[in-house]
Amino acid sequence: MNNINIFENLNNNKIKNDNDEEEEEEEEDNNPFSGTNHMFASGMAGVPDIDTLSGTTELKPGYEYPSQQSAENNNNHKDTTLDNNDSPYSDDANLSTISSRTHSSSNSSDIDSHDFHSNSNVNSTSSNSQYEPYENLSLSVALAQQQNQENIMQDQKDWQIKIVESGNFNDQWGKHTIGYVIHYNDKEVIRRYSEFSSLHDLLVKFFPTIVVPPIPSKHSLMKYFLNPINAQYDTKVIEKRKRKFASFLNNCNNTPEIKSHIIFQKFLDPDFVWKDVIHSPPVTILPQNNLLAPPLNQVKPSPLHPLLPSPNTSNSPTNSQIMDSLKDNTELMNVAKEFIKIESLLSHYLAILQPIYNEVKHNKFHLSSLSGQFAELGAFYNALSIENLPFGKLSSCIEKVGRSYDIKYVSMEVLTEGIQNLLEENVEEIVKLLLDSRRVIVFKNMKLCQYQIVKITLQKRQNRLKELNEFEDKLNRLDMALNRDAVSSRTVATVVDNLKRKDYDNNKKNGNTNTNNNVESTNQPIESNNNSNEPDLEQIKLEQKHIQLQYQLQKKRKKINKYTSKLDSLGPEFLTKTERDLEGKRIAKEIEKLNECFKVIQRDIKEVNLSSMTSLANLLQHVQNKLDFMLHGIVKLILNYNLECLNAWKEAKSLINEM
Amino acid sequence: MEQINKDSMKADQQKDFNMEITVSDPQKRTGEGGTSTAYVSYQISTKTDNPGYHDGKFNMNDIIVVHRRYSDLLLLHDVLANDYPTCIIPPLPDKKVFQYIAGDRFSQRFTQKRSHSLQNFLRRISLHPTLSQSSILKMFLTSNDWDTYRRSLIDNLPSNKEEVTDAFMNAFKSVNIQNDEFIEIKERSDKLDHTITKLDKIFHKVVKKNDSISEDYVKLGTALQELSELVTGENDELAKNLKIFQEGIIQLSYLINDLNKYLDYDYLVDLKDMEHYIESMRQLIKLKDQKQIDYEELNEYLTKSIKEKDDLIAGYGGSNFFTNKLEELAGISQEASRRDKITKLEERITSLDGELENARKIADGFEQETLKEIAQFENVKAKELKDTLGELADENIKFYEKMLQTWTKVDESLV
Repeated sequence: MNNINIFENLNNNKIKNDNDEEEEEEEEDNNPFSGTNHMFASGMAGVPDIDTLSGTTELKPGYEYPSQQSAENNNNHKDTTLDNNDSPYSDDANLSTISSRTHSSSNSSDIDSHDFHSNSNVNSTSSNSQYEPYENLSLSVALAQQQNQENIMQDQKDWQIKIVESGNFNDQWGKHTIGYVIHYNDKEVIRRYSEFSSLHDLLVKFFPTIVVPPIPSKHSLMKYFLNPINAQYDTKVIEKRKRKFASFLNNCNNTPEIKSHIIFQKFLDPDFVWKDVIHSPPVTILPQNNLLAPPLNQVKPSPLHPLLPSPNTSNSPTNSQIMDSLKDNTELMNVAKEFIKIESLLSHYLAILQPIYNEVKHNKFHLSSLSGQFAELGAFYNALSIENLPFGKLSSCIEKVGRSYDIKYVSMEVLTEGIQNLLEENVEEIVKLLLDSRRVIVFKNMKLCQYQIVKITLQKRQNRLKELNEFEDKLNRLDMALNRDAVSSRTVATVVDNLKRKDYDNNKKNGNTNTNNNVESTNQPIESNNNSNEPDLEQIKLEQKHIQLQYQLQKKRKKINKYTSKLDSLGPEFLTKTERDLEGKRIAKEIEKLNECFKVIQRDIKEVNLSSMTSLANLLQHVQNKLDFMLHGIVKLILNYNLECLNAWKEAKSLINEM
Repeated sequence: MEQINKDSMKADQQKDFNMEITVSDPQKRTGEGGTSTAYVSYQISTKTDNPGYHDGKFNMNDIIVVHRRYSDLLLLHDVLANDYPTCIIPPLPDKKVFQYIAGDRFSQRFTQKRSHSLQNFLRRISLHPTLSQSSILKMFLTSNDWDTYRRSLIDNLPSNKEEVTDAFMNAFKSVNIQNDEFIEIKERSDKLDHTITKLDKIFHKVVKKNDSISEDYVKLGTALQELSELVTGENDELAKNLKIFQEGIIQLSYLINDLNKYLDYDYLVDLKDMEHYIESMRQLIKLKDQKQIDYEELNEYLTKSIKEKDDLIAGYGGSNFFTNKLEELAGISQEASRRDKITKLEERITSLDGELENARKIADGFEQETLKEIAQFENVKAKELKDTLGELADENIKFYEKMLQTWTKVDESLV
């Protein structure tokens, strides 16, 4: 309980920090979301922020749940969470009371349904035993099965979350469904398949940079087709789901980012009705496009992210494209190289493991039908033994052989089950994880794409500004030269006068018409230049040349204008001074914004790279660990199976030899 | 009848000899002489302590080896069947016509299986007290002149068509008074046949399944190999483990193949032969029934005749009132014709009595002989069951021991 308080305090502190930082940022920016600001604020209250300190994606130890929590005091917990909810709605106290009421009411119904469930559970377990093929096992086989289970249990030793039972229950609307009882921190909560599924979908949305553990797939349509009524009550499927859900929850729990996420915590908390959770923040404020939000915290308000470009996900850049685009940034380049390496490794894993999965599945079917045949053999040998009862010894020999086949059958069942639990389900999980890793990689690439677009745009704008400024400088230099020479040369002075007049005229004209009709004004200086025979001939020639050039370009510009009407696509020499000034100011503003965006995207890239890389590296490690674990487990299973069968046959053989 | 008795007497005296026959090494041979048809020759080795087989010349431990083809064994079978009608002649494997069409006659699988089946055939004969003493068997197992012997025999072999038609005629008749013992035997053989057939079918499936499982493992092995190569450099420990595991899987696939070969080539053949053997036994029981039916029909005829005679003697029998009246009107002396009839009937009855006695003897003798044969069959069956189950257990033990060895090694080498 204390722990929870600490945690909540931590949360609150963090949130406060967050708020502060956000406010600071917001002061600087003209937040386009200022109108909808409260939406973010309400979301923030629910979401503990992970990446408050920009750039550092290290996981703060404060965010880890203290491993042991005795959290039986629900009220306190609820109060604090409600407090959280209250803060954004401080002026709207009614809302929070309503929500608290729904919580409490749903609580009671949950408890009711749980009571009902625990009754029905007795039934379900007893019906389970009907399906148990191991009812009359020999002791040795029973031991083998136990060992098998221990084997699997070893994997789950460090599991904090358990699916205790599963069975029918009525939800608060009286609908009959299958529920799974999750046991965590001495609390139990019932969730349905659809709720697991929506949690998974949400996690995928919340964590674009993290590989999300998979959940079991839906019933195949074929099953519904074959057995429309009982498909969803298939005990085998339910048992399998139980295991897979447990694995899912624990894998989530072992992923620090997911573990500390409020959605995941609410899922494990019986105080929350899942339907309410998914219809309230932060779920409701998830952004439409995950590229336009802070990558590590999708619901954190950010005024700049919506300004980022949104490249089309369908044409994600290829690796070579990425490498090309990052040529000028060795740091990112190195990271990208790293990614490409890990990516190809993962895809190779997938390419090999997918066929292995199919193979294992095939093999499982073969083994289980073989074990069925062993069972039949056992039965017929027993029949043969009974027929040969008058032969005494022979009969018991045959009986022993039959028993050997019985044991073979049971051991094979155990083996098959073990293969399914250990190999098939784990490989399936790995395959799904590997498939999900593609999502992370695509997101990372899209982020890079975004980065590239911002960078290029920024560069363009900067170049343009430079272009404009340089041109301005050049003109200024010219002016200065002219003015300097005008002191000594009358001709030049006249030219300067003429120019000034023209400029004035131009300005006047532009003020009135604001068109690009500068042909006359540019004609005159050329005429006036004809008068000049003064010494700074070269300078004047240069100017003359330049003006002539300008005249020609002006003509060209007229031509170009037929095709394009945008001023900024034209060289600066085509523009008048006012236009240049205007554009310069505009671009300067844009650059200012772009610089901010660039900073954001740079930070994003760093975060995404680090987070994705960590997640992918963890995945790789996980896959390797799983593979190693599976190997060891399977070898043990096979050894067990062999030992059982060998002993049975040796027994049979010794009896035969006695004859 | 007496012949049979004598033979069985002789058999009783001599049956202590051991005889171990092995059929092996099927070889494809091209036809002898002008004919170019190819055939398969089997090597038949006999080890026996019967001095008659060694002509006194050889050491008792010598193994007598001859080469025979399927048709030779067929001839042996037919001759024995003709010579010993009261014996259960062990059946030969099917001709398997479809194998000829498929051109699969010389495949290793086919010839191996057949050689095992032929061995079963010869061993059953050698276990039989009467058949094992037949001179033709000795000729077959030892003589180098078998080929010429066979040619002279083959043309002059008496046909047993008559028997077949006879059996066919009576196919729908059944014995009136069936011995309880035979009812039991029939029931038992039906059950046995049913069980063995089922086992046969399931083992067929098992063999098929094992094949596909072994294939699975080969595929899994290649995938694991790739995985191991992929992981190499990344996680050498895992790569090593994967490699070790992969070798185990491949070994597993080989072992399954070995076990499967045994099941397919030996055990399934044994089961099939057992089915055939049961069928042969049933045939004998049918033949016995046939003899009994003969006797019963004769008996029925006799009872009819006796009744007719009794009726005539009593004055009412044979004909009804109206015929008597008519005959009376016609002036036929009833008394004379009646006496005539009675004497005729009496003659018939005495001859029938003799025949009946004979038929009864034959039927009884046959029944006794059949019971003996069935007892012999049961012995052979028990021995074969014991042997095959022992082999089955051995092969399984071998399989699991090797598996255990392989996987213990894998387990130990895993890091």
